[in-house]
Amino acid sequence: MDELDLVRLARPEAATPDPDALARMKGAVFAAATTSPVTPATDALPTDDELTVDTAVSRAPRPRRLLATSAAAAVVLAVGGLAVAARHRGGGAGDGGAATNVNEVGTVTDDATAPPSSTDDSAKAIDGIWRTTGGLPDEAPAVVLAINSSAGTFSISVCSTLVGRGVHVRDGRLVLDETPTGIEGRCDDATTRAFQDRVVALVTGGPKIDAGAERLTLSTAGGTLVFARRTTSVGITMPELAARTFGITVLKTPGRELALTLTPVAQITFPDSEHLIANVGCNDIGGTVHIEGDTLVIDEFGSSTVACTGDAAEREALVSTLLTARPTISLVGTTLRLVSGGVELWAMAASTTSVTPGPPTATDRPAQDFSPVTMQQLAGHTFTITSLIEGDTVLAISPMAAFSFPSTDRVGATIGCNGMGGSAAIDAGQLRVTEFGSTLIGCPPAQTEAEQAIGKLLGAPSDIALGARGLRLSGRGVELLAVERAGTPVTTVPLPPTTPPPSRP
Amino acid sequence: MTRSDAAIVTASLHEPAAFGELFDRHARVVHAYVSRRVGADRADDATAETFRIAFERRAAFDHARGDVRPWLFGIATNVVRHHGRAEERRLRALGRLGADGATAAEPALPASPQVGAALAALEPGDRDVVLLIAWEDLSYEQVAAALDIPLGTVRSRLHRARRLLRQRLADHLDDLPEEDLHG
Repeated sequence: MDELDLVRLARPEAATPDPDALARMKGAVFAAATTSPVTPATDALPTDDELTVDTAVSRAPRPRRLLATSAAAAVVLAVGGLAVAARHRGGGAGDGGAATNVNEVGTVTDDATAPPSSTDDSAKAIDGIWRTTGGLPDEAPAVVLAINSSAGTFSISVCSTLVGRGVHVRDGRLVLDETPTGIEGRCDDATTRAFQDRVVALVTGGPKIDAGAERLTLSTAGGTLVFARRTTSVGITMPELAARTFGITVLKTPGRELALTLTPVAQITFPDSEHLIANVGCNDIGGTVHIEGDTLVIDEFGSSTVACTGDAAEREALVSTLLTARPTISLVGTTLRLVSGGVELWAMAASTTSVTPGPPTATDRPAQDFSPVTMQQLAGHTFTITSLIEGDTVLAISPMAAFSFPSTDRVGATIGCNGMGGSAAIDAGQLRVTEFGSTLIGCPPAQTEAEQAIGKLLGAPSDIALGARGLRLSGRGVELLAVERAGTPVTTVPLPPTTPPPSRP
Repeated sequence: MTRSDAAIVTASLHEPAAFGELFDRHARVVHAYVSRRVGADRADDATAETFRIAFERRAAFDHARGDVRPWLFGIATNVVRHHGRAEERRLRALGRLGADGATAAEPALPASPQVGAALAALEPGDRDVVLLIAWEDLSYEQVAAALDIPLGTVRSRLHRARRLLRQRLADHLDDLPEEDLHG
């Protein structure tokens, strides 16, 4: 017996598909297919009527993969909706199963079968940060829900922080367009992990919503989560900030406000729940951080070493001082605020403001000491995209935008909508991608623009290099900067000496 | 007379409903594959996504392949990648269960916690190759077609994966000569 035999012996029993679900799935796909041409004639997105095919879909939303064609989109939606309907019947991870599980860990039950009490289609009323008020077992961590309906983003934090797009309130139910994904947190034990999975299933399972000014209740058929609104910073945690980028909008000292609108990359990024990186037009500055009460504490502070001049140097010095002075940190809605010693910084979640683009100059752009990198070094690493500039335009990017190298010969990227990638190799400092492919989801214009820029980077050889704080790709007028997500740092390769060693006598 | 898979794909270009025959033939196999990899709770979605993508891309199907199954496995593998964290989480969780002395009684989980943990440690591309061969009985050529990689890459990935598996599962293996590693 060899190792492959062990794998063969460990082959799991396959789940038996619900025959009814398969039949319905097929019927929906191919009934629609019979009426759709091979090449759809329009690129219009489906209407809401098309999106809510039946009650099952509207009650238990699944990720909506909106294709660039209305006919195809109808097909996709029908598939997703019926798959969910099948899971309901099967009692798996759908609505009922999740609710039962959450009940088991101690939440309060409620009758979610009653007619919805609200028909408000706006999710703005629930924008903000919400934390569970109790009712969970002692060992269960608090659940933090962050909702930004304007940006269409939401996050769920338990032991990880999971981020998704698309937040709606329809027919009295919370409707999330995506199953959230995110970075690994401190889910050290299976119980906590399972609890998080159950919470996510409940929140994404189309729960009935009862929202007041300070209280939010989400309930499915068997369980309820009760949240209280968080309007102050007290108790803010790093997981709430993880994987989020904030565009700096205000930086001021007493009596003076520094111009930031001319800076294309003034932003603060929390690539994970332990690190902060700020850039106000020159170096990346930041380090390992944690929060004590309402104070941001930098444990290890560092900076790249580009010589900055003029306004950029002044801004950077100010932000460095602020970050290292144990500033008070608050997050209200999508606004992050840091204050210390009279220095004040405001930043908006990048997905709503992005960074106000001005005419960037060479000195505005972050510059670092970059070194050659190989696919072997990058394999297994994922980078959060922090900056994407095409020509003189700073493109909006979501906190979920990422570049990944799953193996030594593959690269993948997403801007938060489509996934793209292909086979990859690095040769002479250039990333060369072959067999380039992409999913074909119709995305909002801003994301489409960013995806096209990344497509340019991957569609032709691009310069690739690794700096002390991240990865840089550039080519065809596009420059991308990305920082590594939590995990083992990529080992950098020192640059060869610029002067030859002395010759031996 | 039964049409070949390739003939169905061709017919579906002008008669989309014909694609349903492919669904009938292969949906259960695809469902079984994805359920083993991402779990029963995600299998319905993953299967639907696989056939959605296949339907969209049917015009690009290489008819020289003849057999559609590796093509569908390739698409399903990419879909599984999108659930990658789910798969690795499950495998790692299984490893932790094993460390505690528990056994994996749940369906759609590897029967051995140790194997689950070892599989979780593989690079995703290497794991794809191992599981398509060991669990789905695809030939090297079919794996190459499924993943759209050269045959040599299949062999090198498998070799690398087996080496790592052998290291991690050493306690469960008989003393094997090194040459047995060549797959």
